[in-house]
Amino acid sequence: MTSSPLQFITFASTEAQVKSALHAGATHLILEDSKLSLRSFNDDFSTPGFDKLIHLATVAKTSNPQCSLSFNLDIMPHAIHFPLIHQLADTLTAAKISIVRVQDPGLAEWFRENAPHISLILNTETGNQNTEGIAYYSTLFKGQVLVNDIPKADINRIISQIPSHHFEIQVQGPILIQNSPRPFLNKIKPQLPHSQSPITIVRSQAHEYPGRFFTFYQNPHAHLMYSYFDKSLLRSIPDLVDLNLSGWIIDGRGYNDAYTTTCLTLYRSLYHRYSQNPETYQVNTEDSDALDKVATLPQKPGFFKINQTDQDRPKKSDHSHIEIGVIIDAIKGEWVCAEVKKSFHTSTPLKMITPEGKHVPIAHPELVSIWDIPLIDTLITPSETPLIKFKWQKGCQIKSRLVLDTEII
Amino acid sequence: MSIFKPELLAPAGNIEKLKIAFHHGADACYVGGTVFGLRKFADNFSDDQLTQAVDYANTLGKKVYVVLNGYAHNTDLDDLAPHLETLQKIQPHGFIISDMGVMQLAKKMTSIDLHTSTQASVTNLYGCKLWKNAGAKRVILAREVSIDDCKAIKEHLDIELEVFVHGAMCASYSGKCVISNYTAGRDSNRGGCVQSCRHTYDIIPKDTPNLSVENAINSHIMNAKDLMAVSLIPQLVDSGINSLKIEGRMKSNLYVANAVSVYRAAIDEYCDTKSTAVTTYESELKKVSNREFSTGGLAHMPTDESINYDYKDYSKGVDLIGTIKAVKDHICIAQIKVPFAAGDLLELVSQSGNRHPLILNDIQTISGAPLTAARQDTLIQFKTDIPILPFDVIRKPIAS
Repeated sequence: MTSSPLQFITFASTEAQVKSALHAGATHLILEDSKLSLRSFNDDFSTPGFDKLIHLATVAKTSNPQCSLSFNLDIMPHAIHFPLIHQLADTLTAAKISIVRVQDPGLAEWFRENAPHISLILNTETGNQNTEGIAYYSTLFKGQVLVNDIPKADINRIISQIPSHHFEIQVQGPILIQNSPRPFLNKIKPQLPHSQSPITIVRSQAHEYPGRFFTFYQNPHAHLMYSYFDKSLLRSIPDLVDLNLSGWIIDGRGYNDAYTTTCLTLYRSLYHRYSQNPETYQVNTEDSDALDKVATLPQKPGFFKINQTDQDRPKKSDHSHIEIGVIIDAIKGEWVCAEVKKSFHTSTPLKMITPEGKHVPIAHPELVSIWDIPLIDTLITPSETPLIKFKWQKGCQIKSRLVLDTEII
Repeated sequence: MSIFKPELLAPAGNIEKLKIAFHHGADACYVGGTVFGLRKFADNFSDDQLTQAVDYANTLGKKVYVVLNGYAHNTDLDDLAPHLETLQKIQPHGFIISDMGVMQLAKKMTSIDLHTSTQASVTNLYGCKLWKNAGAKRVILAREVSIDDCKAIKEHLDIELEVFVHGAMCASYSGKCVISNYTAGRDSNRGGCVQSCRHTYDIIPKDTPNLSVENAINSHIMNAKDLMAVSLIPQLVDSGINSLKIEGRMKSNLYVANAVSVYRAAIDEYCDTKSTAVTTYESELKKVSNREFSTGGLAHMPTDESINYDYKDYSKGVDLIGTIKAVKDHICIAQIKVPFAAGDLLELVSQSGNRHPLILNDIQTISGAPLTAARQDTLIQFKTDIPILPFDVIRKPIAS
């Protein structure tokens, strides 16, 4: 549980974005430089060094001395990137930025060895959804951004079990659903406008999901795919407040500045309205209309209320019978052959369960090996007798399970 | 001076595939239990079968690793704890884990070696350090890490490294994709991936009015080619990487036998003679169903050459016919998966690493009744003087 004021967090790559975000009420800016920020939608690739950060930090502190700043180092770093990360660390000191956000948890080791004065916030984007793992990372990171897949009940459980940690979630913006190092769009890039730019953005529709338009964004780091809808928790302000998070992230990257500033204004306003008077709180039509005016995609809560994939549980195995084999051949009027999977004694009654679930008791099985050696009063093991036969009987079917015909208590 | 020979690690979707992999030359197999692997639709191993698999491996001096590589939600951890108690009794030779919470739980509850899964997307030395400090004995690196980078990691950190050398690849960094979650309501990272990256997409320039697909570019835009790194065996062996892994727990007996025997031969040949018959090996690997091949990220970061944009169907030169189940006095029992006619030209994928032509003119049911053709999902018997062993695999060349 946090005792500090809630932070309204957004991203900025340019002076204009810094100013407009702070003006709209952001209290924490995540500064980006595309050389080390995965998806800034800005092109800093050919600009050497990170002096831009010193300038952006100065502009930010001049506009609002109380605002806090961090840098987004969320590429998947390979060995080739570490000289640049060294350069960044030196600049951060000059820019007086003391917080870095990472996607790769391994960077905790790099910063511990090379820049231990920097605090780190972890945003793994995927995974990291259980208390055990988040608790482990809480010993290495100042804070964590909980991934979009965690529903509010689990967020609540995590926060209550790791109470002193700094937690943020994305409340508004595009949902990243894939991060690939493969330059998928290269082949078709020559056919697109602005084909010389290091950044390519297209919309796409899978034939399997007609009417859902995904955004593909490619830059020299990665090809990134976004969901066909934006995450929007505008209608979940009471739930968000109850979670007592340290920060709410509004991500407007890839959209125009009006999207970011409108969302910042809305969330701040609704937060204060609810905090002042929870009993009378409601989202007005004007609020949702304001969002609709700047949004280009459908607005949905995503998995915040419930994670639908939790309903897709694997089928429980049938443990009501002890399965000792499977029928792999049946010759009508002659033999049934089974592959033995588990040891059993030949004196134990057997039955088959067909793929449709029909139970077929095996009368007087008189088992023999595949080589016709009688198996009487003996222990059959899969290693010594992998294949057994018994006389064909009505109802038997290939792929039926061979089970012990005994009640399991 | 003897060359360090890396482990050859094979997929085993069931106990038969595990035995095929071991008999064709794998040093170790990775298998899924009934709880919490990423291949929900593989057969997977019951606790009994895991016990059998571990016992079988121990008698051969080989190893079995159990995959626990889903990203756990809190409710999954509730199921996992009792499973870990069972696994501690079974004593597999390692767990493959991508989730830090699972790793911490496994560390607390078992004494089994812990391997960080490729799903954790470890791309650099510092990621290896993090997972080592967290309890990992081995890190399975992201498929995008080059052999040169692996070598550098080995030089700076005492940790076992494993890389994939063959099989299907995620289009994304493994573990960094949730397309299935948001399109099909199935969790990519808990065994529910619907392979949306293999779908056909209409690509529409960003500012197209009304998102009209009329002039869209139509492509398998994210369809990654399969990985084949047999040509890189010299560099892989020389790098000191500890384990070379073949993907494919859902794949066929033929795939397992073929890939394992080819990589076994390539590794042994290089370690013995410092050379490899790359062309022969590649040709053999290309015969089994594939999406065309690239070397993934092992030589350099994957380029657009690693994507099969114009995919029409799998490429293959052979079909699986069946698997030898028992042999006695030159009589072989085979389980048939694809029909064939008596007299067809077949091939035997032998445990010796050889491929023998096989023409079966005289095939019978297990009752001895003669057959003119073998049907799917039946057993046949035949007599041959060719040395055949249980777990050899029969295939049939596809007429071109």
